[in-house]
Amino acid sequence: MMSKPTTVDSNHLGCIRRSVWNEKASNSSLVEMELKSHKATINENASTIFTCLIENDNNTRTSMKCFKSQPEINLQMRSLIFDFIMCCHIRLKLSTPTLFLCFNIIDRYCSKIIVKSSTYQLLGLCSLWLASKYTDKKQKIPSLPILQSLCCNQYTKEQFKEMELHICQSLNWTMCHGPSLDSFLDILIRSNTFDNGNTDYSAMKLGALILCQLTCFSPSISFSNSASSIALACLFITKFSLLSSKFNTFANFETTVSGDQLDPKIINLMKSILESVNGEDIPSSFKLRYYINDVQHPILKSLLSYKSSWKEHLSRSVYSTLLSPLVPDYNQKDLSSPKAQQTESIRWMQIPPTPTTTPSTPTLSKSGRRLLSTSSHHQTGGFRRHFKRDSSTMEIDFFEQEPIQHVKRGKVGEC
Amino acid sequence: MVAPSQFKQLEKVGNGTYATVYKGLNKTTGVYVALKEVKLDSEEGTPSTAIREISLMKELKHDNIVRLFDVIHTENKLTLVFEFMDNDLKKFMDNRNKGNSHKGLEMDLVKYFQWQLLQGVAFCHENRILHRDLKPQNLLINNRGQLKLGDFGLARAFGIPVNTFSSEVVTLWYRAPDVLMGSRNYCTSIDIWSCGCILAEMIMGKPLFPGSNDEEQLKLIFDTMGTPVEQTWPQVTQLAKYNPLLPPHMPRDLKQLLQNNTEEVLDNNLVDLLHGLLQLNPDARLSARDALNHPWFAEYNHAN
Repeated sequence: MMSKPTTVDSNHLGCIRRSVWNEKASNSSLVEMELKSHKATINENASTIFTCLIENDNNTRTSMKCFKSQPEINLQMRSLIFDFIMCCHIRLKLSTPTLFLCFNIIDRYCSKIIVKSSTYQLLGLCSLWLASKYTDKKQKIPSLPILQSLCCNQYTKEQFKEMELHICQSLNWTMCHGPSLDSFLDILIRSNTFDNGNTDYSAMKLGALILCQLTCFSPSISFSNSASSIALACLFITKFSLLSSKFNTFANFETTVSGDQLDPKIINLMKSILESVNGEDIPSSFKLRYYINDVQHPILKSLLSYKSSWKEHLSRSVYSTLLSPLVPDYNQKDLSSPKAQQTESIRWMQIPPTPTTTPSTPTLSKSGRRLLSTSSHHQTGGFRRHFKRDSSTMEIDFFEQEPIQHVKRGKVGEC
Repeated sequence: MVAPSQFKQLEKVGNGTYATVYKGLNKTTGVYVALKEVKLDSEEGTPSTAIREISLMKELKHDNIVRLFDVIHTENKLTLVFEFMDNDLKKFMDNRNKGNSHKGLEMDLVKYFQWQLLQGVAFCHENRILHRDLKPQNLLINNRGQLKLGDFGLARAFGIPVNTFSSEVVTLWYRAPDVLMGSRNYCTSIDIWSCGCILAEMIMGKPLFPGSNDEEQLKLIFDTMGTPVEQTWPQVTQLAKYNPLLPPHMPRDLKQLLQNNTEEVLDNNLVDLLHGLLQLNPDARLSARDALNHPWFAEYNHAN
């Protein structure tokens, strides 16, 4: 009889072996080959994957209206919790999709369940835990004691486990179906619109990623736009920013468009995103991630300088007084329709023709089920601006300190 | 929400990767179900395998994938309520082997099972999900001859970026050579290799490459499929666990090898499909969709 194969390894030997593999695996030609074959596989399934992501996006939308009806928590606290979670995410070295999934889980839970201010932080950490269990490698998933230490042991292990299960049940076990902004970035970045042969993928990706992360902190944008259109708008802004810094000039996204004309809805979204980017008031977690010795990462720098050139351009423009464009019109009817935006992002996607028999441009199917989300809450451009936080507590020793001053200590209440 | 008392727990059916499975009876509907029990009393809260399996199975609704009906939480355990299947492919084949003699399945049945397997796999891949643990034990069959993929405990959604997964996936015998040699960029091709191994196993009634460790597994694969060289598989020598001292082998005649182990008459289309699934170079392997369009399945394709 054939016996089932077993491997017995001591931890130490395993470590040595892994480090040897990792060294070999970092060989540049190997990495290049892996990237190439990965791209081929993705292209093969790109249209079905894109449709599937759009569907996930529709099914996991969050609602500003529901959030606003929360009695104990508000948008300022949300921004603090997001900042705290992003710091934890950096500290734990988790993968990018984990962060976006985590933000999505937090907001979806808050769109459904009343959350006490004392459990908001617990919700954040449990969402991070769940997202990490779903996305990250086993070794990277934070353990309970580590999660506890991240919030200065405010919550017991039992509270973590209880909250984790409550999230799963409240979201009917679809908690991990959230759309990942970075998946959309990865598909869109390879479309004809952005891939012109000499595109610097890593710069484009990083720039758009920074912007996507920033939009998560801006409720007016993240609650009322589809993930695909946010990803698209962030890519366009990055494209124009990189262009501007390369040629040391201001490439205006409203006038300089190569080939196709940009859709006004996407232009409006780009304006709101640019509006929400504020160099003086960047969340502390961004300083932790994108500043080295107080110096901005060059990509972040070019994004910020693009924003100021844009502002300058607006104030100098002869038409500026006529258009009063400083505050983009959030109440415009078109912008409020996520479905319309999705159709737009599909139009821009233009997946390269695939060898399969499926049509190369995916169609929207079953997209009717989107959650209520209205545009009636957009009076303020960025909520963060009203709320100064002490960034000094967010330094390296951030986690040894009381992380959230505004959240009262307390037990998990029934949610 | 379903009350746990709604189900009557019957006999134990087996042990999954992280749970115990019982047969159950839905007392209100009289329908049999499979109850997969996951213990929650550990330090890790809900196991990541359970989170992935539930999340992915909730998304995958297809005739050739076992349906997850419900998740019930009681005290310190989770119970996953699955569609009940009578058997799995491993037991089904074992029942046909008497003593040490191996007997494969009838060719019509092999084709029908392989067709359903590839349908399920294609659906997973189009929903950006990798099963990562395809083997006869995880292919469930019922008395109507339906075959469904089960046990998504190791499955993952593959992101669009290059994800570096662990290379310890897929039970050794069905593990692709690129994964065995340490490639971290495996994608849909990893499941396709397993489909090839399973196809051969259904024909022969015994596993194609029954290695007992990584080295032996690679040796068995190369003995039959030939030792890869840069010309047939560019960059193979760069793989982390590539062994330059591998003895060179020419590929063996797969048709002859299979024919020695079966009484059925093998046609060339079958051998061609098998070659497409068992390409050493992952980039050269067929996709699940391509495999379904292969001439060997002509009768199914023309029927539609």
